[in-house]
Amino acid sequence: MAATRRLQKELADIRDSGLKSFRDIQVDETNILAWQGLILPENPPYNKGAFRIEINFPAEYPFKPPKINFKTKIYHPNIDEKGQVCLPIISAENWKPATKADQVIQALIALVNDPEPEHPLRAELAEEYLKDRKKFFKNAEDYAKKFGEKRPSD
Amino acid sequence: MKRDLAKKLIERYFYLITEGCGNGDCVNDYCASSKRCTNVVSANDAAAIAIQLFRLDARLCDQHPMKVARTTNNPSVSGNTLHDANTSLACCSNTQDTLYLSHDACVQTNPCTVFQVNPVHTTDLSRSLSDAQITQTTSTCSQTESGGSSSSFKIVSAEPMTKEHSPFIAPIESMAQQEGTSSQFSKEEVNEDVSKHKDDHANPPEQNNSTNHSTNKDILDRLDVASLEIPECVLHEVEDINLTFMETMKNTIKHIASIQNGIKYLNETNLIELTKQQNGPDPCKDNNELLSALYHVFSTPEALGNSFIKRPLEHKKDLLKVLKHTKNLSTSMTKEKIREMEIEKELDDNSMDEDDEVEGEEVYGEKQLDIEGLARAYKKINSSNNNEFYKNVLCLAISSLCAKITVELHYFKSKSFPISDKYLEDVLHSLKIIYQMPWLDDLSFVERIVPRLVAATCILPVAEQAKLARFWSEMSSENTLRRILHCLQEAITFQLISTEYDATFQDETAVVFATKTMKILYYASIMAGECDTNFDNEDIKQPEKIEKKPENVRDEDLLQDILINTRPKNKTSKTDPLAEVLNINILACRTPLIPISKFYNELLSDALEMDDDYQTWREHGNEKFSYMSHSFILTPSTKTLGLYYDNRIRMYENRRFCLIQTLIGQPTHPYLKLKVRREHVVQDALVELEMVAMQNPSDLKKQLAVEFDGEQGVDEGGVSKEFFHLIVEELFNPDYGMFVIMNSESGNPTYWFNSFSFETAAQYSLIGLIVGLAIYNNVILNINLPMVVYRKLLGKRCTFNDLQDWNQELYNGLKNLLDYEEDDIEEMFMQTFRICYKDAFGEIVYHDLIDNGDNVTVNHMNKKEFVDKYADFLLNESIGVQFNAFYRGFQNVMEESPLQYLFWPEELEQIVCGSKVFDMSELEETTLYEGGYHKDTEVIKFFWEFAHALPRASQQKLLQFTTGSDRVPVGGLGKLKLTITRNGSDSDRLPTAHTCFNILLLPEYSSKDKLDERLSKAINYAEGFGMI
Repeated sequence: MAATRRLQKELADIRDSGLKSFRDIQVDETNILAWQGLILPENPPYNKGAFRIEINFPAEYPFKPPKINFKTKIYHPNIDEKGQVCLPIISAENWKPATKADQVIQALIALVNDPEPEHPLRAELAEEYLKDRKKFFKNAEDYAKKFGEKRPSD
Repeated sequence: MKRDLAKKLIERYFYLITEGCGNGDCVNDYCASSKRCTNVVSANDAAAIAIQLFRLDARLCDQHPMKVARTTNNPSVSGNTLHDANTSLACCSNTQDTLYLSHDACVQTNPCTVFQVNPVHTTDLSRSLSDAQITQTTSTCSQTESGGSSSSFKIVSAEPMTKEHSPFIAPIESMAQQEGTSSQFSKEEVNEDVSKHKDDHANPPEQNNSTNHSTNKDILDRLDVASLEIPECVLHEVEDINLTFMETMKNTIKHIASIQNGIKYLNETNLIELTKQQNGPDPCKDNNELLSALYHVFSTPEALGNSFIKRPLEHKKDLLKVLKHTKNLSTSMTKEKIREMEIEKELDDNSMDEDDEVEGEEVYGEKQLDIEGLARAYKKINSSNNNEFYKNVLCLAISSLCAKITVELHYFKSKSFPISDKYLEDVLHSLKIIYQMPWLDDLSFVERIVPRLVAATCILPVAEQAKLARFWSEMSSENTLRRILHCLQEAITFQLISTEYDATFQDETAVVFATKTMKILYYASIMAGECDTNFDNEDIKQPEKIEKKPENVRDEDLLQDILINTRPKNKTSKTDPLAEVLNINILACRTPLIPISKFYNELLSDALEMDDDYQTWREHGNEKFSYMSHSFILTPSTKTLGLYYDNRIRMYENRRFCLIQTLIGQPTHPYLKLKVRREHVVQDALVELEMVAMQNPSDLKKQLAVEFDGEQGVDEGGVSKEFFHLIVEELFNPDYGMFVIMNSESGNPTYWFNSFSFETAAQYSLIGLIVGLAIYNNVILNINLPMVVYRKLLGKRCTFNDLQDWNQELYNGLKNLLDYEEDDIEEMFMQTFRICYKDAFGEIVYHDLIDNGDNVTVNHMNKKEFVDKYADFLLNESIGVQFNAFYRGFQNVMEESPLQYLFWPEELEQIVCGSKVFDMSELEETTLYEGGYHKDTEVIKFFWEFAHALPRASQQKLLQFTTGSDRVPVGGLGKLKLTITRNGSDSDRLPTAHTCFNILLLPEYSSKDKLDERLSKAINYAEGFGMI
């Protein structure tokens, strides 16, 4: 289990570190290449919910970057309706095999907390975010409450 | 010894000042004979000035030896200076064909052509020929000078010399005397720099001896050459050049010709010194040493061969010396100082000798060119006041130099004399210097000297050409190479435009030579480019050819052998000798320094009659020049034409064979006939082609004729296009399971062999066969295979670098691993030699790159091995079965074709898939109209409005409808030659097309809406052939 040796270690490391913002990590025993987990952003408006994500590692990992998908709908300029994220750290051009899954998750959480309207996937949300922050926050909060999962209490 | 020499030199300066050189027209400021030097000096003053001049290494007039002889009991005439003596035997014929023997062509006083034979170097014969040209034009002006100089000549005739050279001088001498003319010998020149330059350019005495012993016959032979070969290849050219700008240069040339200064070589230091001295407003009138130095050095291979040689130590020392000299000038002279100087000079000389030796060992005998110094020197010339003027002088000198080289080498080659290595080295070094010239691609230069320069380059032996290529690839900057290329392209274009040519350009020597020179550059660019180091040819197991066992030999095979034995004997005759010497393998090259497209000459490609050229290539291989063997200069579409002729000729061969077979009663079909059902195109084609390949593989080379079951289409090309289209569409469909789609997320999805395919190897063979047939039948296929496949088809085993265009992402990741420097590589990557990938069904598969790979961790030591093995597995091993079958099919059709010689993998892709640019306006420009249409007809305007407005996919459909293929042919849509023909007046009929001739039949619809509607319907529902 060569390619997965590193993944197993990374998984163990993440689990051991007990991240507050990324929890409930589920990995199918037969396929370590697909992870699921809950992220809990700290900043408003996303601090009202938890969002389930899926990380898919390619067979060639770490030589090819993983892909991230949101299973939970989220109102965010950088995440589209299908849940695809545009995260520079895992783009084909920027990917470094030395990057760990842990860093990828941190980068993702940072993006969720602080949207980057300059590189939007959903232009209309980016515009709203820039022009009418209040309205955007309200919409995002509504969305988080409506679709988001319940945040674990601890 | 050194002191003696110094003394001698000072004495010479002294006599120069007091008595002059005897040449009334002398231009040396210090020379008493010169008109410039008016004030009479006392003996003491003269001595002081002489010492000063000695320090400055000032110029001495050449006619000095006899003065030295007077004081030193004639040392110069003694035998030991023989090798320095540039004694020349010049036979000059004036209009009455009289012969003269004279010291030097340059001071020739007769209105004549001068042939100078230099016994030091037998090769000098022709060098003087071009000098002669100069003298010829200037001699009329210099005639008046004869009085002054003749007196000095007489004193000069030296007895020992006559003896030494008597074996071969005598006959000519007597001949000359018989003709009633005078003959003079001169013993020339104790080189004022003997001590300094001796080692640089002394010729080995043995050489002299051999020369001296040459027989009379040799001399006659040489004269023969002079009269026979030169006029053909060079003379008229020389005249052309000279006539055009000699007029303006007349004065200068006279000037130069009359100066024979002592400068035997140039380097940065002395050139800059010279430029400092010469800043007068009018170089023609000034006593211009720079001018003469430039001219003399740049017109003599030996002198130029000694110029700009890299010697790091000497370089500094020279600069120091210059500084010292300038200091010394300001102080007063004392005897002690002179002595000091002499010692200094002595020391310098000694140390320089040492330098030479060391240098010689270091660079294994090859001269190193001081590129930076040379560049600075050129810059200096360029920035001087009269740069245009100097350039012209250089131009003149170089053209004479090249003519010399060409004629000499040509002569030696034709007589198969051995050429001295020293001479070749000089020539090579000279060419290197010239090609570095920054203004080489000035139009005036291209016009004047490039034809000669390339001629001289091409006449070099292959080994020297290889050295030049190596020099270019290792030492020259990309800019220099680009400049040379540009200059060659200009020269070719210029020649093509300016001359009347026959379409094969076989005899257009300037173009041929430029092309050959470009070949050297091409190889240099390949060597300088990015190459795979550990290069292997794809070790594809040669398909177990259906060996015809002896007992099965059929009559027709024998017959075929007889008929086809006109083929080039073997492939080796087509490999280029230069490439062999340089050990170049084009496939090993990834990206050449200069992109291959820069080498295309479109004008040449368009004008070339490819069939004639192909014929030459086919019959003579490398023995005779053909552009097929220099295919880098041809655009891919012209090369395709070459391939097309190759294919056609082989097809016709097969047809002729069929005809003969018919005559002897064994009729076979001249076409490769396939009858397939539209619904089962793959199966039917597979069965039929398999049969052909089994029974008679040569049938595959016949022209393809496809018939669809139940359809009336007659195959004149169109039906087979459709056949290819259908079969490719089906076989490449991922659902079919033979190919998988890679990189589907990134913008450029490509097909790749499915290594888990259930299909048999025969299916892959079929695909290979189809690709081969498509090339063979000039059909473009709609397949998007990664470049790796084409490299593999051309015989390359792919390596890690090929991953880049196969899967950029993975390549980046692995590259990162290679570049990873930290110590924690093992913990960081935790990678073992077991890799993991997904198969076509999304299942994860593991593979050990080495035995027990899971237990071997990748670290700094073995990461390279890991990456190489990884790439090798993905690109070669995992698809080995599939690709080999594919390749076998391809080879069934393509074997013996010139594919490998002609194309780069990139170009091969272009032939198979067509070029990727989709430009409808290009199509519009070349479209022809028939049946009353012209480009301004209303309906035609409608048509193009419609066509341009279509989305890309529909444009492809339109193309598919009219031509049977939706790919752009090599060379762009303009190459399609679409014809639109009027098909009756306005009606409700749909447009129709003859795909085999690319004809669109268009009724003259009354409105644009109607045209749009009809045409859209036609292109969207078009498939199948039938009568309407």
